[in-house]
Amino acid sequence: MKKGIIILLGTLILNLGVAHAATASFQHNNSTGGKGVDTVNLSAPGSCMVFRSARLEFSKRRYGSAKISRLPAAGCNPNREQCTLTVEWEHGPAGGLDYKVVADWGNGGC
Amino acid sequence: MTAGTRIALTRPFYGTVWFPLLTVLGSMLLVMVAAWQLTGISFKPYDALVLDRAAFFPDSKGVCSPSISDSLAYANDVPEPIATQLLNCVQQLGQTGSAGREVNLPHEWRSQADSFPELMSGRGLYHVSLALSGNQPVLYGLYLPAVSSNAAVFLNDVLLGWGGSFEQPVARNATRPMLFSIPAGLLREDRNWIDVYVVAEPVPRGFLDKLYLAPIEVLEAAYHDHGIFRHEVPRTIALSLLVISLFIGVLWFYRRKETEYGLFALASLCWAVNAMDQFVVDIPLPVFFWDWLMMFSLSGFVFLGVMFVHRFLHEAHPQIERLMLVIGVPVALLCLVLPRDYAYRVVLYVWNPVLLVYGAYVLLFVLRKIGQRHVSRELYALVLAIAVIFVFASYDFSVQMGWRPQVNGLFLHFGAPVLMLSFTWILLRRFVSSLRATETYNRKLLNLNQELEQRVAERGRKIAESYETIRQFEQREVLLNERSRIMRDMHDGIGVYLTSMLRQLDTASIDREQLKDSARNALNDLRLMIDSLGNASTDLSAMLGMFRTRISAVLEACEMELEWAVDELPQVADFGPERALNLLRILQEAVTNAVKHSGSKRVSLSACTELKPGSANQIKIEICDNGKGFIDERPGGNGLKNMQYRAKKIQAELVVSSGGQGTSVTVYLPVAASQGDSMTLKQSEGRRNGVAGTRK
Repeated sequence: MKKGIIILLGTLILNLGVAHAATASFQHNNSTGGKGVDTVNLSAPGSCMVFRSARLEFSKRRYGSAKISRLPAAGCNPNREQCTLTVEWEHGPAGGLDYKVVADWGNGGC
Repeated sequence: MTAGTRIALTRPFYGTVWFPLLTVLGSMLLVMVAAWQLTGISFKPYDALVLDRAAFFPDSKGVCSPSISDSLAYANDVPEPIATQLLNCVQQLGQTGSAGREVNLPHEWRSQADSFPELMSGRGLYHVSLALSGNQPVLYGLYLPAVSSNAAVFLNDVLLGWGGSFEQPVARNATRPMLFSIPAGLLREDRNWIDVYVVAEPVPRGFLDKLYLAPIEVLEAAYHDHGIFRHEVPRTIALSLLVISLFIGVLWFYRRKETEYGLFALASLCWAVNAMDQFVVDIPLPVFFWDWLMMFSLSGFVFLGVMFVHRFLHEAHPQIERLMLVIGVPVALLCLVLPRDYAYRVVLYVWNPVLLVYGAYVLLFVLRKIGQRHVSRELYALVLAIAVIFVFASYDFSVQMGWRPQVNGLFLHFGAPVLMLSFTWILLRRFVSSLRATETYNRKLLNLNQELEQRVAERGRKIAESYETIRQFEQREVLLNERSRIMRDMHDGIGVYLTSMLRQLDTASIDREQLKDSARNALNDLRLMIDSLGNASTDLSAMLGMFRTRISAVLEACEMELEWAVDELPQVADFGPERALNLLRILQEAVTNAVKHSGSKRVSLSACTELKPGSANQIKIEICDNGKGFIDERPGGNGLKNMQYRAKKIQAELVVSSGGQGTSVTVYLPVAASQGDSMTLKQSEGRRNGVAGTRK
C-alpha cells in the first residue's frame, strides 16, 4: 500500500515537468495508392524544453500504415541543435492516411 | 359588388375550388422534386478509385464473334473456352493499330452514333490504363455499376469475369451491377490496364458506367445496395403487381358489373410484364420481340389505365377510348413489320410521346374533376398515384429521348407501389364502408324482427283469447242444447205419463192397475233417459247391454225367455244421447208390446251388421216374439205410430211384421251417416231446439 502510494506520487512529480505537443500533421489520400517518407524538424514548446519521445496519432488510416523510422536523440534541445524525425508511410489504392506527430518534451534545457 | 362576389369573398379559403387544386399541385411539385433527387442516387463506393477515362475501340472489322454459344459449357469437345475466345477478341481489338478514341465514362453510344459509325457493330472495347503505387494489403475488386447490355472484364490480360450469356440475345445487365474480385498479386504496383469488352443490343442503348477500384469490402456495400435498388426492388414490385392483379381479377370475377376492377387487374398485369424489363437478365425472346412486348405492355397499361379512370369516375368517353385503340393497334402492328431501326425510331419519336400525352390527359381529367368540386378522399388518393406515375413517366421519357443519362436507369415502375397503396386504401375504405352499412342494416333488421315478433306474439295472444271466447260460447251452446233436449225428452216422455196419471186421479173411479202401469212407464222412461245420458250412450253395443239388464228382470217376472244374439257392432256415426234415447224407447215399446199383448213365452233380440246394396253398412236390430201377433186386432195403433216417429227422428228405418208365428220389430240404423243425412239431422235438431224454445 505504502509502496503503491510512493510510486503514484513519484510518477506525478516526474510528469509535472513534461509537455505534450503536436508538431506536424500529414495527409496522404492518393486514389491510386502511394508511399513515401515524411520528415519533421521538431520545435520545442518552451525555451527550456528538451525532447523526450514521439508518437503518431491517426485520424484516418485506410488500407495503409505509417511508422517513425528515425527519432532525434533523447534530450535533444531544438534551441541548440536540429531535432529531426522521419516517418515512413504507405497506403494502397482507394486508401489514405491522416496523422500527426506528437512529441513529448521535458524540462532540463536550462 | 354583386351578391355572388360577396359570397365568394366571405367563403373560407379551404371551402373554395382553389384549395384542393393547390393541394394537388403542391403534392405534385413535392413528388417531382423527390423524384429528381431520387434519380441522383448512384451508390458510389466510399473513397474508391474512380476510373472515368478510357480509350474506346469499336469492333468495326468484326474481329469478335457476334454471338458466343453458351453450349460450350456443356460440350465434350471444347477447342477454345469462352474465356480464351473473349481474351483473343480483346487482344485483337486492342491491337488494331489505332490508339482508340478517348471517351469519358459513363459513355453512351446513342449520343455518338452519328459521329462514330463504327459503334453500329454493337461491340467495343474500353481500355483503361492506371499506374498504382503502394502495396495492397487486402483483396481488391472492380465494381461495374451498369452496362448495356453485357460485358467481360479483364485486368492485365487476365479475365476477371463476365455478366452472363454472350449468345444472342445477350444477357441484359443495364440494371444489374457487377462486382469482380481481383486475385491477389494480379494488381501490380506499377502499370496496370483494364479492358472491358461491351456488347450492346440494340446498339443505341449501349453504354458503360464508370468503373470503381477499391478493396472488395468497400465495394461490397455499394454493390449490395445498388443491386437491391436497381434489381431486387423492381422484381418485388413486378411480383406485387402480379399478385394484386390476380387479387383484383378475382374480385372482378365475383362482381363483373364493376368493370373498373377488371380493367385495373389487366392494367396491373400489363405493368407487371413491363416491369420485367428491369430485372430479367436472360430474356426468353429475341431482343426485338422482347422490346416489342415491353412497348405493347406499356401501351396496354396506359390504355387500360385511361379506361379504368373513366369508369372509376363514372364518366363514359367511348370516342376517346376508340380513338386510342384506332391509333394504338396500327402502330403496334406497324412496329412488327417495319425494319428494326425504323421501328425503334417510331416507338421513340412517335409512340412514346403519344403515351405521355395520354398520361397527361388522365392527370388533367382527374384534376378537372377536382376543379368541379367532386372531391372525395378516394379521388385524392387516385390523383396522388397518377401524379407520381406521370412524374416518373416524364422522367423516363426524358431518359429515352437522351435528355437524361441512361446509366441511372428508368423509374416508372417505382410508381407502382404508390398506385397499389392508393388502390388498396380505396378498396379497404370501400370494404369498411360496406361492412359498416351491413352492420347498420343488420341492426335495423334485428330491431324490425324483434318488433315483428312482438306483434306476432300480441296477435297470437288475441287469437287465443278469441278462441277461448268462442270455445266458451260453444260450450255454453252445447250445454243449452243438451238442457233443452233433456227438457224436451222429459216433456215428451215422463211428462206424458205423469199427465196421464193426474187425469186418472181426477176421475171418480180410479183404475189402480192403469195408474200402476202409468207409474211404471214413467219410471221406465226415466231409466231410459238416465241410460241415454250415461257413458254408454255413444257406444251401441254397451247401450244394448244395459238395455238387456233392464228388460231381463221384467221378462223373468213374466216368465218369459230372452234370446240374446248381438254381434260385435261397429261405431255408429253421430250416435249420441238423443238418438240413443229414441232407439231405447223404440226397443222398450217393442218389448212392452210383446210382454203385454203377444202372449208368447219367448222374446229374442238380435243385432248384426248388414250390407245394404248400393249404400253404406247398416245395423239391423230385431226384436221377435212367437206370440199371436196383432194384425187382425189393432192395426196402426198409437204405439206403432210413436215408434215410426222416433225411427224417423234418428234416421233409422222401422219395419214391423206380425202374423200367426209372432211379431217382429226391426230397426235398420245406418252406420255412417251421409252428408245429407248429417245435415238433415242437424237441421232437425235445430228445428227441435226451435220447437223446444217455442214450447218454453
